[in-house]
Amino acid sequence: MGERAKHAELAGLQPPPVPPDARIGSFRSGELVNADASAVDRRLFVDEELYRLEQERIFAKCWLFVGHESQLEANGSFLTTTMAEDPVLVVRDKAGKLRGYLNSCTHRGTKICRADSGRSSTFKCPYHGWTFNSEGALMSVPRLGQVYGENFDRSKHSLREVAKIDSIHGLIFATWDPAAPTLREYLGEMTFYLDLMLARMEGGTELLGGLHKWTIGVNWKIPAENFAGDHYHVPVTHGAGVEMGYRSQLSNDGYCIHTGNGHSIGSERGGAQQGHAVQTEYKGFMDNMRAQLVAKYGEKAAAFVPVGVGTIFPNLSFMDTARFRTFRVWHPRGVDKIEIHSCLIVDRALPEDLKREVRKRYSLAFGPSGIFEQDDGDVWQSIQDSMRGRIGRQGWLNYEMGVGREGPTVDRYGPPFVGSTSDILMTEANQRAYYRQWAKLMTEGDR
Amino acid sequence: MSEDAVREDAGVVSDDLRREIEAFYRTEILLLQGHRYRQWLELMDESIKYRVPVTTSTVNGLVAADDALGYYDEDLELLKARVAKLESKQSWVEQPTSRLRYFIQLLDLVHQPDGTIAASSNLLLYQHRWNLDQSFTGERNDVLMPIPGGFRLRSRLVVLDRQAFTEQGLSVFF
Ligand code: FES
Ligand SMILES: [Fe+2]
Repeated sequence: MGERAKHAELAGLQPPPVPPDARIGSFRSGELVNADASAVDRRLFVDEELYRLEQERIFAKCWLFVGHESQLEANGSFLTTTMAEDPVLVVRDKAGKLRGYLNSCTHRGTKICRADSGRSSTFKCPYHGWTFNSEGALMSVPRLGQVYGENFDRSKHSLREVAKIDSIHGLIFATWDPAAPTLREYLGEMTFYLDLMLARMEGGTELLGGLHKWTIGVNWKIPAENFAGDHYHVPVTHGAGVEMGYRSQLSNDGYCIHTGNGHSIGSERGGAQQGHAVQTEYKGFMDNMRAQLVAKYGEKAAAFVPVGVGTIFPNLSFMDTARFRTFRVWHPRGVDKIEIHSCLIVDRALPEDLKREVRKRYSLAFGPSGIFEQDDGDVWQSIQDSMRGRIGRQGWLNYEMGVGREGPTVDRYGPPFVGSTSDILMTEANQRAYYRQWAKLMTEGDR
Repeated sequence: MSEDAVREDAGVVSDDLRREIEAFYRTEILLLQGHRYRQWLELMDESIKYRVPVTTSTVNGLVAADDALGYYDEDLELLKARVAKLESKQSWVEQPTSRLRYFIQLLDLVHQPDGTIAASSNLLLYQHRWNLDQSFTGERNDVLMPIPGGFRLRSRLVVLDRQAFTEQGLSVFF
């Protein structure tokens, strides 16, 4: 392929360069993110105005992960979570349709549901007793005629419903934006890698055993960009994992793939979390899946089982390893705090006792007490701590690693592997793509 | 038959045994507070099940399901893996080492038909770390296996009283 054609193809895979003079609220875009996002201003992580704009331009617009279909098997089942800071109630209604609502009574705003999950066909507000059904309609109002008279229109007081809700391989997403593209358009070429990761076995996937929930005093973008492509931190932050035999020393052989719209994956060749300690039969299962993929697409396809670690813009990350597969949301709770909801997603067709072993391997390594994840939290919190001061918020963070090393993935791995990739594992290409997408959405409101 | 023996038959433990069990827990507290985890592992029976499950908020309050994910969900092999990790110089979560204070209040001791003793207690743990202070409370349910000169821990189930209960990272045993 000629240089020019290559350039055009790559450009199609990349969010546009950041224009220097677009507005982001009271900021000029160029003072926050440089053209290729190899420099990002520290204020992105501590500024209250930017955080408020993110709620409007990112979280109220993007598709956000709200749960897994296996949590809502029966009609009338529900779960509660949040979309950014907004509490939501996700239900499977009487007809079996997935729906999402703001978990807030239309009378005075009280949460109508306090439990994490359960089954109920009605939700009664604990303040004045307005009661809603799983279709979001206001079913009953205490003393309706007596206190509101004859003309009160209950149909005008349904729960606020998300604009769109859809699922892919059991993962449920919702958006508040009626003008949002379809979920599959939003995910774009990431869909291909989700297919690889979540459709390995007949019967689909399930979320096993509930959620790990914990908090970290950090801006939500720090963990999101970490999962997007920070392989550079692994040998240091997680050096203990090598010492105790859980994983081999990280090599620089692997890929960091960006698939458009800020979505990314990356993996060391052979998958993250290689090593001899605490293995299970899952490894054999993954070896088998790898052999099947190689038979289909050739030797190079071996690199894609497991798929690795990644982020779906803005705040859903995952990690598909030789031992387990986790998905997690970094819910923003103010500019300097997140609440993490992390879960284990297994293939339903796995034998039950193997699922149990995989569950143990996941919580050994990830979640708040995980021997890998337990070391990330303090690092991230200390980033926030050191940037909140008058001087700490000044200047740029550096994202230059691996600039200019990207090319179409198909050139390295052959068809059907999509997106743009680098020829080394340790690059910040995916973080740059992430912040270019951030700038694209953040500048849109002020055009 | 002595009065004590009669009480043992009913599942209630003798005062002597209670004192031995209290001594076991004092030993354990000293090992945990001292971060002497290698020695702490020696208190474990080969078949140890060590579980601290996540809880779900339901209309009936916090519930810990049998098949729930764990904050800890370990057998001896996995506990050893955790200890090996904490011993590493690159285990950042414990640098600097946190100060720990365990308060274990024994509530009930009951003989089990298989010769083990079920011990339930309240747990209060205070942790000071370089960047935060936090405390944990919960109920602990142990099964102790008598051996010559002491006990081995056969199983432990700790249900904590909070849900999104920890900040940054969790590096303590319950
Ligand atoms: S070396 Fe990267 S943040 Fe310090
Ligand atoms: Fe990490």
